[in-house]
Amino acid sequence: MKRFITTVLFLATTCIAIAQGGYLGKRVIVGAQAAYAPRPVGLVEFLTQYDASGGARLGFIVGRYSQLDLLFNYSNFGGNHHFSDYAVKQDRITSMQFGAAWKQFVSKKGGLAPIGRFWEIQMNYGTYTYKVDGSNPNLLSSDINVLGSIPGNATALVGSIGYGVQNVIKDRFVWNVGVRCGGPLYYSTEGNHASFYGSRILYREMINVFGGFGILL
Amino acid sequence: MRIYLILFFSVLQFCLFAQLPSMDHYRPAQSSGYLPKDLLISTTQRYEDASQQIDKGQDQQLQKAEEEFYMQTAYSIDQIRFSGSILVNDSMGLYVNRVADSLLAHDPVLRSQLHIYVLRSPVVNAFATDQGAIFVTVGLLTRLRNEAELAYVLAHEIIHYKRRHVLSGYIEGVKLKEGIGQYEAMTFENRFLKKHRYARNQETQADEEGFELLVRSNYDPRAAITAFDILAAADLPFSDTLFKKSFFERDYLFFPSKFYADTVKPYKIDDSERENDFATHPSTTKRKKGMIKRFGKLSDTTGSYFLVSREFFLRVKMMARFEECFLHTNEGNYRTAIYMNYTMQQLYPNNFFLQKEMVRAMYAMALQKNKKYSYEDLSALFESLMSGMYDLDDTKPTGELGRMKFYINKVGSKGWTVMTLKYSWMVHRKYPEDKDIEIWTNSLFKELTEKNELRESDFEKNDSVFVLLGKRAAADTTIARKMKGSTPGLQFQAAIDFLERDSLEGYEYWQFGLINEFADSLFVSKFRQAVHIADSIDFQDSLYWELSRKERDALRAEKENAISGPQDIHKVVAVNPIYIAYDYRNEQSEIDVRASVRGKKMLMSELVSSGKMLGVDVTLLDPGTMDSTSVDRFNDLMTINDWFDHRTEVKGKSVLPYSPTATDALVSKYGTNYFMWTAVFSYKQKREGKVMRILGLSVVPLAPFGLYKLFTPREDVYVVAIVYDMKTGQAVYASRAQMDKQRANKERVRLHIYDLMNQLSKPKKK
Repeated sequence: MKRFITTVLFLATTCIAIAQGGYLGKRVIVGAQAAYAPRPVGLVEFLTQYDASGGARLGFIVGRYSQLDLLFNYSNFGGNHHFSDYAVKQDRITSMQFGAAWKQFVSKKGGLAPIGRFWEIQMNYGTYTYKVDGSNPNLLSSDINVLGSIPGNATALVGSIGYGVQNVIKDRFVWNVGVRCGGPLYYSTEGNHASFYGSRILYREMINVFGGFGILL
Repeated sequence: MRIYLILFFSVLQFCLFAQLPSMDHYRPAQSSGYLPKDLLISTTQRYEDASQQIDKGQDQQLQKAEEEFYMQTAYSIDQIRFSGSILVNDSMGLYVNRVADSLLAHDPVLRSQLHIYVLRSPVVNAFATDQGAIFVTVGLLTRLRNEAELAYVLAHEIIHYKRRHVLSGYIEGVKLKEGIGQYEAMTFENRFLKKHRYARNQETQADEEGFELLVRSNYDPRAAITAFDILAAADLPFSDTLFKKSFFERDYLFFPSKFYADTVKPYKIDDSERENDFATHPSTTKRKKGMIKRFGKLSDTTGSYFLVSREFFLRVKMMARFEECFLHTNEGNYRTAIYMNYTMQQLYPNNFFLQKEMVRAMYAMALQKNKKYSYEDLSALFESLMSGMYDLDDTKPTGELGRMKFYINKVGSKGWTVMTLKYSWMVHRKYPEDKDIEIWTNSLFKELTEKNELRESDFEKNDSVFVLLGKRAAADTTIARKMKGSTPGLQFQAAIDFLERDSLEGYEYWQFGLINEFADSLFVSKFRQAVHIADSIDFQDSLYWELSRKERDALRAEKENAISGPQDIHKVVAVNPIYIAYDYRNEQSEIDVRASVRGKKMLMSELVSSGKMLGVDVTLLDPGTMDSTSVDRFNDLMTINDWFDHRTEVKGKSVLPYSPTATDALVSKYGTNYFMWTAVFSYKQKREGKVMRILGLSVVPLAPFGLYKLFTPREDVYVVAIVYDMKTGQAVYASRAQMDKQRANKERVRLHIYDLMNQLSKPKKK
């Protein structure tokens, strides 16, 4: 954690030093963000099931058209259901992700950091913990045994590209929304269940809708 | 009608030659004294004052319409105010006001409600607003034959104001659209016809009561009849003076006779003026007949053509004509400007102002002729063709103006540049102290050597060939008969007629045009200097073409980036910032006046505050920031607007056909070379594809976006800024942000203005 905080502080001071432009001179954004990822395994699943994640972000306007975000995300995913979690909630993966996102505002569409349409490249390094939901009464014990054999931890480097819009209100508050697509670039786990983790992480990252808010400092 | 026109022009010429006021020291019209209060009040204040008059007892829809009307009117007046076209306390305006004084001597209350101004426009027009402002154009003043005609025009407009015709016309439009009152049971077509009849009735009422006002004021009532001749001939030039090409073709410069149209069609009145069911005005002929009838019923037809002063009238008329020459060049009507100037030079042959203006208009024409149209310019060329800038009727032009346009069109770019240089050199030698003429003349050398790639060897330095050709022509019996004299010029002209070819045995017509000038050592030295520069540019051009395509693209990209990047500018004048909010959902008016007014206020304050934050000293030059003592700044705004119009008209030229000394004076007055134009345009409209959006709501993740778009209009925003270095005439910074489907909120505009100031203040990249 110490190393992480040192890295963040180093990156933050570097970013502030090279930062230009900004909104009336304000170049730092402190805020939070959340993402909603429908499960892209079928039409019904896409419309009814989702994963969600949320976290904090520290943004720096580093150029006329660029913004660098340092991110921390927490997610707890594993088959949330819009209508009843009874049907599918059988296991759960919690993750902690740290990463950075580069937002490039589209000058052709009049974008200027921090307002306008932007393209985003995001890289996150995450640790994942798998847990079977033993409290689910519909889960057969044979299933619990199978699921229980899945190793508890994994790590992954996840990359995504996104497109969205960011705006400022009342000279201080920033919000953004957009769509992101991505997948795991690298992951490691133990045993024979690598593909299981891979596909679960992929489902979560393949497509998601994100939104965030922040305060300009 | 033709006979009327001939009479009109004859009487006009007679009047002019009879008493010509001295115009030796004429300068373009400017405002003076104190700016009146009604020009200084804001749109909002103007609207609030006017809306006090709303009758709260009437139908709510009509109340709302009236409110909207006051807002729109206040905004329209502001637009005229910001344009820099209004003249305040100038000689022409003072005279027009004195005529209004004598017209309303019996009604001081009504007089005190009126504010009469002259508008710098060559169009023949006069109009009144509901708030008592009456505008008379320079174009109208040029065509008047006596003071009483002006009095009648004013009387007509005063009645429009007194009877509140503008307001009632607007309300009638709302009633028609909504089917209120008498329109309730009517079909749409009948409503439409009724509305136009209503407008025509208003005009008739203004004619009738205006006539009564004229009669009451002791002006000669005949003027009310003859005033309609001005209206009928509004699209024609103020004079139809015979164009003689000897004005341009002098010494050794001649062009073929076929360049000069032998016959011209007479002017005719435009038939589209004829009254029909859809016309808003009765036909001029009908109005004139009506006036003759009214005149016939008068028991006492005596009155005076001049109550204020005949001398003052003539002076104002001449001033207006001088001004019109100036305005036509400003508006890019170079051929018309040259003709108007020509006609005035027949009356004032040695007038400095006219000669200088002629150099300016001819120079502007030379720039236009020398312009090489690129692919991107094709649309501009097509537009100018469609606008009638080029007379496509080559066989028989209309009127003397048409004859001159025909001639100008025929003379090629080299010929025209030689002709212009010849003329401007003559004027420059006559007035060597005038810096503007000197700069334009120098630029013409450049046009000749750079654009037309002419060198000394291309010109004949003595008249030996010239005389030889003339003699050869004279030897021909047919042509000899045609010759009316024995001067080399006439002989040469005869030779040209005889040969009837574009080249004369390998010679071009313009090659002889500067024989006299090349005998002047100063001319030769200036020419050689221009050749030297042109040669070095050619060298640079050839180096450029030696680069690879990639290198050329990189060079071009570097230039483009340089103009939207850091500039190291710390003082700038922000000229008349514009904010217009269009709302296409509103059927009454496309402009959302409230949002526009609010936006403009915000834009101006952002320019100053962002500038302050980033170390850029921003001076606002806008009527909204002026007080009664700001007449100098009001004039500066007019000068800058004129300059800007030229800049946009003549692209890529360092020397504009606009007074360089006037712009230099502004630069030293404001302590900066940099003048900035900023504009924000926002457009609101209904979104399309509602059904698809409703269906899209079923996709859960996208539902919030869908809902937002379902209930909000589509908005697009444009933020534009351009900064010119007035010394060099070049744009040093330009940015254009086009934000489709994005809201024009305060923050978005603020960010762009901040970025503008940031780019201006940051040091240039090395």
